[in-house]
Formats: sequence, structure tokens, C-alpha cells
Amino acid sequence: MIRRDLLVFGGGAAAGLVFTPLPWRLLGDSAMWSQNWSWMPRAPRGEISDKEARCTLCAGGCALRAHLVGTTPVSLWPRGSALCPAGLVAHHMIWHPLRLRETLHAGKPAQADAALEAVRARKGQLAVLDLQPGRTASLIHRLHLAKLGGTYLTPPRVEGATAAAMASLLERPARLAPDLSAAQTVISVSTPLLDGWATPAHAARPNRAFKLIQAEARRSRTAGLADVHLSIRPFTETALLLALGRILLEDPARRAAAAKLGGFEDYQNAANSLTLEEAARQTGVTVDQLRATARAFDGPCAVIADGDPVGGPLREETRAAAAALNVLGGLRGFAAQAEVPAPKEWAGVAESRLDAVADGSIETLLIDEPGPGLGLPWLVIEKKLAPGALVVALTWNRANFFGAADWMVPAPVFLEAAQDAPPRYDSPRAAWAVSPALMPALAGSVHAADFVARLAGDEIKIADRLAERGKAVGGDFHEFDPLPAPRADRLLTVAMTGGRLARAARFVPDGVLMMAHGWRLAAVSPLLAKLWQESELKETPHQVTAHPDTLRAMNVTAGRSARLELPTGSLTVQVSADAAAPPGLVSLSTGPAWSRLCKPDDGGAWSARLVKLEAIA
Amino acid sequence: MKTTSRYAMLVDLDKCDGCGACMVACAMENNVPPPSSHAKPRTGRNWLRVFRIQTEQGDVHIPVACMQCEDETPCQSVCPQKAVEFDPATGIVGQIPERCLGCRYCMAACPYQARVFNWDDPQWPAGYEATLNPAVGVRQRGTVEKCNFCHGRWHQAREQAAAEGKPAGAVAYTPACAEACPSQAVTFGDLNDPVFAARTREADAFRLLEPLGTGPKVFYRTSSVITRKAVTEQSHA
Repeated sequence: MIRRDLLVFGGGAAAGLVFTPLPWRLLGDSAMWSQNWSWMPRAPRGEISDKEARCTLCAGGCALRAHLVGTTPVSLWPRGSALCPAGLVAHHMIWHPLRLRETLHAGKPAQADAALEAVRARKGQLAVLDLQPGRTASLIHRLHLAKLGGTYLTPPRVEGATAAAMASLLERPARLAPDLSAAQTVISVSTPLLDGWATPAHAARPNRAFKLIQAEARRSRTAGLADVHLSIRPFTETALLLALGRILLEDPARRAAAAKLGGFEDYQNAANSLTLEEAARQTGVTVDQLRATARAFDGPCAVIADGDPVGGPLREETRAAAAALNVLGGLRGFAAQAEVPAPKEWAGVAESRLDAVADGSIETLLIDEPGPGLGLPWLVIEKKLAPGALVVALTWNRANFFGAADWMVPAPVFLEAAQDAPPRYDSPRAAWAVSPALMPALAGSVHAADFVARLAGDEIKIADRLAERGKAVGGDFHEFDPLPAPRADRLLTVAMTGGRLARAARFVPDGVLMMAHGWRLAAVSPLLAKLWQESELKETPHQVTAHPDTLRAMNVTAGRSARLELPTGSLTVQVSADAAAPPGLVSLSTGPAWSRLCKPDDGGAWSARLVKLEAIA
Repeated sequence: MKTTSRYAMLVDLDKCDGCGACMVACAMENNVPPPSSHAKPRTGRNWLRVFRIQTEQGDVHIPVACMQCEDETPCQSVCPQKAVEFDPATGIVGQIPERCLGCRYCMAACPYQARVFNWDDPQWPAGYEATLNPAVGVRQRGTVEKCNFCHGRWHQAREQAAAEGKPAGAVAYTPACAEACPSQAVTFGDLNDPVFAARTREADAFRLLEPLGTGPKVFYRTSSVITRKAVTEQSHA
């Protein structure tokens, strides 16, 4: 071998190297290495398994399959059913940035046992406010409150409010539910029927069999998806419902049947107090449109006027007018809901509505907030508290009651503790859905039912109670068949007599009005921000929308920030213009801190009224 | 290479109500992070985005992701890094983040605007790393990404078929969006399957920007003439 051969070999090898996979492999490997910086998040490693569970975020109780790495759920998928976007990321609540991770006393770290001792040491009556009534934990609360001589409180109802108003018109009150599968037409009045209302994954099915007429001032998502959108003027729902009632009473057969019911004359007087022309002028819906809408009652029809679960219920008069309309229509589209069985020995104290409790009467209050979207305006709670009352919030998040409750004790969230879903109120079929605990609960967290049990000296945990109830139900997951809708006894409750309904129908608000609305499950996961921040499927929390003329009159520019002043405080909002919005209305899409914004009025509605909207310089 | 599958998607616009479950499921499956504070619809990182179109019949929602073009794939032809590869075995247009330089030629070339750019490093709130899908890698800042019909799921389905001793070739699987859709508006199948292919050839089925001749494999169907007209007009706009 001579030197020339060595050079040729070296040169040839160098040139040939380019044609081998080696440089490309080096490039690929170094590129991959550059993708794995220390600050790049890494996926978990461990044994992969699938487990079955039920989503208990809402009453839907949808069946799901949890995909786990080790004992950590990394994704949830529907199992033979459907899951709404919030249900798909329900496991994110475990790590939610707003999650309460330790017991706080006056804002400082403390022990849950100290909170228990503080309640024990307290004299005076104990009350438990259950923000998600109907669960097994709710029954256990009632059982223990019977021992403790306490009161069991539930929040004012929004979802199911119409059905509750109808139940008061029955001789024998029953749990009524709109039977959407039996209804040919559903008239939804300012209720987000297809946008998170009640059991989202069930209700939002677009392949629905019923025709949907949405009567609402703003063009909400439900209004956009409805078959007919009756664009009514804001806060004129009662006038619309009474006008429909008046049209129904033009039918002699229907009038003769209704005349046998209690409260008929009061209702007829209220309906006749408003001519159709006057109703049309108030609502902005023509007389022809009113008559066309009333034709829905020729077949099975359900009227739902529950209000917005986040923005608050509609006024009591509106719910009563909707209930009366359902009775006039023959209660077709409604059925009675069968109860889920429970052990007989669990009989406890009766349920009381928070709004029915005397103001300033509660001395010790425990608040059970087991999940997202259950908050209640603090002003609703505060006015019921006695001076110097002790408030302990057993809650999953630190936003709603921070600065308001004396103690905040972290509660385990979905998939950390066995829990069941509350009964469905948008389905006549009662169902019992239970989810097992798939991972260890947060250290220091206490289930509200276990907290109250310890106060009563009971050591049986909620997980064992669920197993006990499972035996009473008789198996795994069951659905209980609906019962026929009971016959209504009255058209109006006594509370609605004396012309209140007629006066409410004539109420025409003036000035710039504000309507709050929102998506109650928005706080489940930061990933859900994709639905408003990276797309326009939902309105951004703290976004106000108004007609361009309304904004111009207020000297506010769309696309800019503004200061929104309400009777309860003020906040910075993003302004957007919508030519389809009715003039004189400002609608606010609320965020997770909505409960501090709303104030209840004398009719039970929470909607806040606008004080001022001004541009930020 | 012999084509064994031509995976495709069929979206029933009459069933889609724009709930966004497909978007959320896609982000969860493919480790797409929550939006950064300055993200907007135009700068978002959704591989699949649902657009809303207002029509005289009400709102129409149209999920749009990568169309997996099989003829003259526009993004593939402009990529200087060969970071985009059309896989003839599946019909899926793959995106290889390790090769991507972030030049965004592919984004400019894509007629469907179905590609997104990682303007930031992926960030999840503390603790959320525990929820990442171990079957999919995390992409860093400066790379382009897009829908790949949940390629990770295809790999898993293929491995499972092999483990069960099934013959190599076409395997059936379901992408995250189709699995999550509560109204079953999104269906997924193989164009080599005569039954599925027949559904995509029905009179009420159509594709977006079909005259461009890129051979998109995401099909839409609607029985409403108004909806079809609105969607077609919007896609041309």
C-alpha cells in the first residue's frame, strides 16, 4: 500500500459517508435530543390500564372509561354513551390551579381537625348547605343532622325550577321532569337548553326528535341551534308566556277544562290584563308569531323557563306563568320521576330551601361544594347568617368562598373519592350512577359527609354508605322507569294571586340592561379555554356583548377593554359588538368568579343590573 | 409501496352542534397544551378547530382539521426539510417535528389553514404533566404541527393486531375526535372499505375546496342545501 492508496481510501470514505445513513442518523438523533430539553414536560411512565367509572360532575352520570398510567388517570373516554367536553377532562380537576390544597383558617394554613373542633365548640343551631343535593352524601347529611338537631339547606333551584313550580300546582306534589323524548315541541324561555343545561351530553344531542323554539333576548348558542329563535326584548318573558296562555284560553274546550282548576280566575284575569297587541309591543314578537308559537300546544309540548344556571333563575312570576302554561297544555311532555331507593333507616331531617330561611338566623353553617359550577352568589348566603356566624366551607376550590368563610377545608374531587351523581332533572327516568375512587385522595382532604358524620359521632365513611345504598338499589347501575304525569290541581299557586302575575307581565324595564350568562362547567380544566380563547365556540369569560349602537351611546369601543360597574362591584371586561344583539342590552359572559357578581332581586332572579360601562384609557 | 389503507373521515354537519368535545379530546390525546395567555383563534394550537357559520336556518358548525390530501399534497411539496411525509400505507400525511425548521412554508401552502405553529414551548399548569398521554411526544417551540388522524392510536392498533396474530395490513382504529363526539357526527373509516367509501360518494357528501384537486380525505355531508352552500362559500372566502 502506498501513500496515494491511503489518500484515495480516506477521500473515498469521506465522500461515501455522505451516501450512508450515518450523517442522517446523526442529524435525526441530534434533532431528537434538541426536543428533550430539561424544561420540556415529560409524559408519565408506568403500567397502563383502563377502568370503568361514571362522571359525577353533573346529574348526567355518563359512563366513561378512565385510561390510567399507574394510578393516575391520563384521559377519560365515553363508554357506550356520550361525554361533554367538561366530562372528557374531568380528571384535570385533581390538578386544577384553583384547587384548595390545604385547610385554611382566616386565610392561613390550619388543620381540618381544628375546623371540626371549632364547629363542636360552637353553640347554636347547625345548618348544612348542600350545593349539590340529591346525592347519597345529601341523605347522609340529613341523617346526621337529625341526630345533631340541625337544618339541611339546599340552594335556590335554577335547573328544574319550572318543574318545581309545576309540582306546587299538583294535589300530591311529585318530582316532575320534562320528558323531552315524548315532547313534540319544547319552548325554552331564556334557558340554555343545548348549552350545558342539566345533563349536557344528553340534552345537547342535535339529533333530537323535538322541535325547539327558543325565546331569548340574545342570540345564545341554544338560540343559534334552535329551529325557531323568538328574539324577545329582555326581561319580557312573563308577558310572552301570558300571551301564549291567553291564546290557549281562546279554545272553548281548553277553557272549559281549565275552569275546573283552582286559581283559574286569577290566571285568566292576569292573561286578559294584556292584549295580544300589547304583548307583541312589549316582547317585540308579532301577534302572528305568538299565534304560530301557541300552535305547538296542538301536540305534546313542554315549556321550560328555568333560567341560566350561571346567570341565575328567572323571576318567580315567570316560572309560575310557565308552569301554568304547561298545565293548560295538559302536562304533555312531562312525567313524574321515580325515586332512587335508599335504606329506610336513613330517614333524616326534611329539606329546606335557603331562600325560605329567615334572614340573619343561621349561626353555624357548613357548606358542601363537591364540584365545579355549583357556586351560589355569596350575597344570597350572607344575608341568612346571624351576626358573628361561623362558616366552614368544605370545598374543592379556593375561589368561591375565600375571604367569606372562616374555615376552608379541601374536599376530595371526582375520581379521588367514591361518589354518586345527583338525580337527573331533565329526564323522567331516575338513574343512579356511582363512580369509584381511582386514585388516592389529596392528603388532608375531607369528604363533607365524613366531616358531618364525625360531628355526629359516626365513623361510617361515605364509601361504605354508597355500598350500603347499592344493596338497597339492588345491583350495579340502574335506571328507574318514569311514572305518568300526575293530574294538576291548580293553575296558579296562592302566592301568585293578587295581581302579581299581571303586574310582572306589564313590567317593561328601561335604560341599559345587563344579562349575565355563562357555562357552569367552565372551571373544570384550563384546557377548556380552547373553546373560547383559541376558537369562538363559547364567549370568553368576562366578555360583554352589545349592539354597536348601544356601545356607541356608551362611548365604548368593541375590541377594547372596559370597566363594568355593577351594584356588587366592578371588573375589567373585553367588549365585543354584535349587530344581532337587541339595542339597550349588555350581556356579560361570566367567569369562575361569577358568584361575587350576582345579586338576587325581590323576584328571586340573580341577574345583575348595569350601573356603568366605561372605556379604560 | 402497496397501499393497504386509505383512512378518511366523514363529518355529518346535520349532527354537529359545535360542543367542542372533539377539540378537547384531540388536545388531550395529542398533548396539545392549554392556550397561552396571548393565544387567539388565529394563533391557537388546535389541530382540530370547529368553525361556526351563521345561516338563515340557524348556526352550522364545521370541524376542520388536516384534510390528509393525497394528490399533490401541497404541504409536502414545499417542505425543504422533508418534515412532511405522505404515508402510502395509510394515506396519512405525517408531520415529523424533529425535522421541522419552523419555516412555515407548509402553513402558507395549506389551502385549509389546518396547520398550527408552536409560538411557545408547551406549558401545562403545575401537576398537569401527570395527565400527558405517554403514547405521544411533546413538541417544542418553533415547530409546525397538525392532525395526523391520531397516528399514535394507529401504531397501538397495529401492535395489538400483531400481538393477537392477526395478518399485517389494514387495521381498524378510531381517532380521539371520533371517539369523543357525543352526537356521533364524526365517523372514521377506510376508503378501501366499500361500505365506508360508498357513504363518502353519496349525493349529499362533499369535500372542501374540491376543485383544487388535492384529494382531501375528510368528507362532509349534510341534507340541507343551505348548509352546504354556506359551508362551501365560507371555505372559498
